[in-house]
Amino acid sequence: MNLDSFKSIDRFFKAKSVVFIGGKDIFVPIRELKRRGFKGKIFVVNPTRNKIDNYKCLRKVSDLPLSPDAAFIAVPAKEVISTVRELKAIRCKGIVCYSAGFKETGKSGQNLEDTLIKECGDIPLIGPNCYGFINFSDGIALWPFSHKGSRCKKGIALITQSGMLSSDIIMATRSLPVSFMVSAGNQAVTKIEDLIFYFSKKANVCCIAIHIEGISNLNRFVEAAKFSFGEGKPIIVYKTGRSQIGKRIAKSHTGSLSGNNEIYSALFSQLAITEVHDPIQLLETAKLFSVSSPIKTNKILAITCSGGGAAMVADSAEELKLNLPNFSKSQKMSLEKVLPKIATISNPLDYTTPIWGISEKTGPVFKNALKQKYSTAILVQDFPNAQINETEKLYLNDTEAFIKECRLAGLTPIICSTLPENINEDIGSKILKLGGSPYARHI
Amino acid sequence: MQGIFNCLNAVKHLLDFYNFSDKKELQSFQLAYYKNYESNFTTEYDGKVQIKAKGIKVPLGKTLDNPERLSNEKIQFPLVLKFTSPTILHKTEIGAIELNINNHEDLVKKYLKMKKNLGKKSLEKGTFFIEEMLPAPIAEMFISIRQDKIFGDILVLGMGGSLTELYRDTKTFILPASKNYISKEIRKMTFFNLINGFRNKSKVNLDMLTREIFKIIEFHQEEGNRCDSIEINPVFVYENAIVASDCVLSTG
Repeated sequence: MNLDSFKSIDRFFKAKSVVFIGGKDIFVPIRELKRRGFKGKIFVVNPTRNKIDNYKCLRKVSDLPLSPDAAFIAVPAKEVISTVRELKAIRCKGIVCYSAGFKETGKSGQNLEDTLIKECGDIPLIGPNCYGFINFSDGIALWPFSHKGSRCKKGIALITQSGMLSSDIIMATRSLPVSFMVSAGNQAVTKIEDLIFYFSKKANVCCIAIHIEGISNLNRFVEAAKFSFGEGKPIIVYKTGRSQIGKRIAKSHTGSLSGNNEIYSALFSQLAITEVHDPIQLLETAKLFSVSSPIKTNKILAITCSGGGAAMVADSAEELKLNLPNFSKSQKMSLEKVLPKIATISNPLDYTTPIWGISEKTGPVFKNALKQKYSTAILVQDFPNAQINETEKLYLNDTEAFIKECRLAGLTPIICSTLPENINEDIGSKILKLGGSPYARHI
Repeated sequence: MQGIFNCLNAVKHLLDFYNFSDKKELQSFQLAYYKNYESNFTTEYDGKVQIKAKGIKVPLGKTLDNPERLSNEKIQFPLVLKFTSPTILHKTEIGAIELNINNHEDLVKKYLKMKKNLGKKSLEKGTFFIEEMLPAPIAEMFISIRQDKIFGDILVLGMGGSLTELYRDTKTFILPASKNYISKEIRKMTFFNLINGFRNKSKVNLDMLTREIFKIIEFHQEEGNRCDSIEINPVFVYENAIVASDCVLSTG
């Protein structure tokens, strides 16, 4: 990616002035921009209304007093081209085209999209048929739906081809450190490849997670993947359209042709791209990539407070060819001294309930268990829900002791629940304060 | 992290990423250009002659130019009798292959039977040939390379033989791919267990296997060969050699 195109996307994503063009569809995006804490200038263009959300409407784009850094277009498809032309005339820096009715609708839509591409030239444009972007790092959203999430100085850059999936991800209660979300839609102008180049250069991005339906320019995708690898930004891909039915939907959905599954998988694998097969894996994998230091061996330590949990970890580890090495003799001897008699000393280690929640007792257990070279250490904890929180403190005592010992051993602490729901957002933020994963060491 | 399997699965992905070994190869990786050869299928016999010339092992064989004078041919038994033509891609189904022929008498009998089965029309387009009967291999696999208009050159390896479609134990590669990478990926296949001392069978030398696969890749890549696609199924895999038992070649 050349410096100019990096700069032009960067100025767009860090916009200080935004113009919304449209009618009923721009109330929500204006609110969402403010929800992000946007401090810049907001303008609204509508030919007939006087006011939208307390903003006086300008009649036409040329009435704007300045060249806006970003525009959000939500006008009927047939008016998009003229709007883009007007925005170009006032040297607007970048456009989100929320309007649909292009390539995804068939032949005439394709023609309209071709015209849009020509009209746009080198101005970055997200969409059409997309949700836009959210920049959690600088507090800017051009986003047509209610969304949540907090400021994130450094985290995952998420790119999706499905607008709804991007909204679903934003709504997920998975304590994800997300710095950018882009719903790329039809990728008429700004494509996933451009975004990979851009995010690879961003200091506030630790990895790039992408939902792909099809790749339009493979050679450029290859170059983008090579670039991101060189920049140390791992890519995690979830490609849909693998099944015969999935392929049909993918085509009608955003108009990209899905390719042959095995070849795509081979491509990802050879480009050092991590491929996952469902949206949950996409998020959990990206989460781990964004918090963990590099690992080289498959040796892991797992600690539970239940024999059942230990067996579950052991089963999954075996399936994934991860190694849970036995404790050394000296480790066993020192663990015997700090564990209750009933405990079985093996990895995964069930530290048993008699000492549960007493960090003076669990701390030394964690310390001794960690006295070996592991690449990863995991503590399995399922927290009580908000209504029964009298034991929460006890859980968090062990969390804190574990995080402390992991840090001393130079490992990224991973707190993992048996069931996804059992680390809720409130608990998530408490773990964050203690300094443990699922939260980025960078934030 | 939320969910034990998802957490450990993410750990596995992280590990694979940081152990990615083909860093140098990655930086020079490019998709191959599609070469429009306007190709046609060769006969199995001609295909084998071509790949043999490039050092890929095939069974000893010769055409039967004058099949009526079979007794004059100096040949070793047991052998295989095949009929080959550019239009025949699957011989078993139409009775164009006879295995385990042990003497002259048997050969004449099988030859006449095959001739009758195939009918005049088919006979005009091809030739009969005989081949040495290969000893039982450790495993059968298939090796296929084709051009794809979008992705370039595609290599597919898999467990071979009649159950290929059932097992679906295949690995796909986009060329170029390094020897190291291909051999690492073969290790991940179920097929690898079969060639790595399964049930006290001998172990196949994986370096040898990868080297031999590369001969086939080089055959496909060499522009002079104008090779659009090559599929060898089955490949007989032995401890220290592989032999192309069949060969479907398309050149332009």
